[in-house]
Amino acid sequence: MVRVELCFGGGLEALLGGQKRTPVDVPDECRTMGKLILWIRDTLISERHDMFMKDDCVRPGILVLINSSDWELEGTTQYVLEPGDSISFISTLHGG
Amino acid sequence: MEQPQQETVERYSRQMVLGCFGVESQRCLSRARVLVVGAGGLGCPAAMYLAGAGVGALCLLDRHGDCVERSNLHRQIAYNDAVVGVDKAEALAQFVRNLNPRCDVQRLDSKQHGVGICAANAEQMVQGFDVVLDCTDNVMSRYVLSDACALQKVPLVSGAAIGTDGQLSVYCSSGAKDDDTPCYRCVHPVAPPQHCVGSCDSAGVLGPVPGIIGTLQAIEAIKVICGASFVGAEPLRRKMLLFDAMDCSFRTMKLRARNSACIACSSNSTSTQNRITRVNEYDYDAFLMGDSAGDSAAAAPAIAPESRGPLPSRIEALEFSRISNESTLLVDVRPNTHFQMCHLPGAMNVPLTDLSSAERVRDIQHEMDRRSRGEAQSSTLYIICRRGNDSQKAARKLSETGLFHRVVDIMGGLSAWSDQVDPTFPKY
Repeated sequence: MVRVELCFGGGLEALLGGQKRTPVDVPDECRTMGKLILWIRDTLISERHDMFMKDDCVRPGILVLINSSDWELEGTTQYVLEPGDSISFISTLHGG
Repeated sequence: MEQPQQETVERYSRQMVLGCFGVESQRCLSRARVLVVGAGGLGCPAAMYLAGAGVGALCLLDRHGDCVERSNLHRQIAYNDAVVGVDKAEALAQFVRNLNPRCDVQRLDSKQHGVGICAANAEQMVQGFDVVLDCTDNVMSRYVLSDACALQKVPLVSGAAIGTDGQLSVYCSSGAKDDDTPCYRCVHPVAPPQHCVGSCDSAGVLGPVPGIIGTLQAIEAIKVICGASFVGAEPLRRKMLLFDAMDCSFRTMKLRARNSACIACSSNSTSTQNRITRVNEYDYDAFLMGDSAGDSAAAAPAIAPESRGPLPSRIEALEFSRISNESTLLVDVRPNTHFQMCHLPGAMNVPLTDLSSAERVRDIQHEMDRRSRGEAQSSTLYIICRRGNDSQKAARKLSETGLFHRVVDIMGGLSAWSDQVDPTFPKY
């Protein structure tokens, strides 16, 4: 198990009953970001999965952050979680 | 060096005496040409602060024919009750002219009803500006504006706000060799599915939230314009600010660098396929539909249950007002916060999203039985929403349960009710 903090923002928190920060223990076999996303879908999100995912990745319009860095800078789905990591999923806003 | 004029000193002294800013930064501002796209919750404070700060030329662009509404006033602070119904860009231009008569304020116009920035005009609109502010409220404008700025090499200060959240970043390289600022498309190469995009109109927005973000956009624009004269100031390039009003948190995240294969901003034009060479030649509708169309087509047969009940029919609001009485059941399918704000007497609130719950559908059945005193078998269930879209979906869904004799949705919803039956019913 690896303990990380998940953050949901920009409206995505609605998928977790309004909860923005959730500490979770991720099973060792789900330690990569790619697996973590599937794990979140299967264990934390109960409905409207299409608001979170498309095919086997996060849907377009969601920024994924690993400790406040764009996950593109950290290897995207290949990144391996470290204890204490903060992983954020932020929906891009368009209103003005 | 020549000294500034008396009025310049009097008007801008409070920022010119700042050690990091000084006379030279003020000169940069006075020579700058700035374009603000969108005269709403972001555009109002952004334009006001930029005019106040003394930019030389300020151009404003909004949708042609978009007028100030009363529902704008809680956040679009350049407007007041007296200008409700007045063209927005014109009203904002008037406000900032009064604020600073030395600023050359112009209102740009697409001359086409309902059109602001669009693929056909974007490159021409942004040409020649030192910085552009994206204060728009929709996905298409954001891509169009970013692509135009990428091609014309104009920095873009992009703000967005909805609900209690705000976001801010500076996109698009100015063309300098070592500038690795991404464009909006580098960060969002694929458009979000349409059903995942909220608007202030439907999702709501806390007034000061766009105020904060629009104000920060003015600061970023000033930093971009002044460059090195504004000593130590760093525009929010390759970074994004996330503001959450609920815990008053400001988080800054690191963004990826410019994508060397980006179809909008890559300098390597030969190796990139499908490169956008002219914004007016790119098919934005296809780009935005790309994924969402595929989604709905694939998902529809999977979730739609077999139709068992009769197909729903529709009636006018006026007709409904004539035939309804105390035994009529009207289900209002708007979200509960909307219902609490205003509803028709006797209406029952079951939000559209709750209709997948068998329990809530049973609640409707029970209420139907109660009101019709056992005559539910021959009674009609009426459905209403804000404008008549969700009520159609709800009526179809309830019909398909096969539990109701007849389901009818009210065309145009409460908005039509206000138009046809009761003008005192609030339109929002």
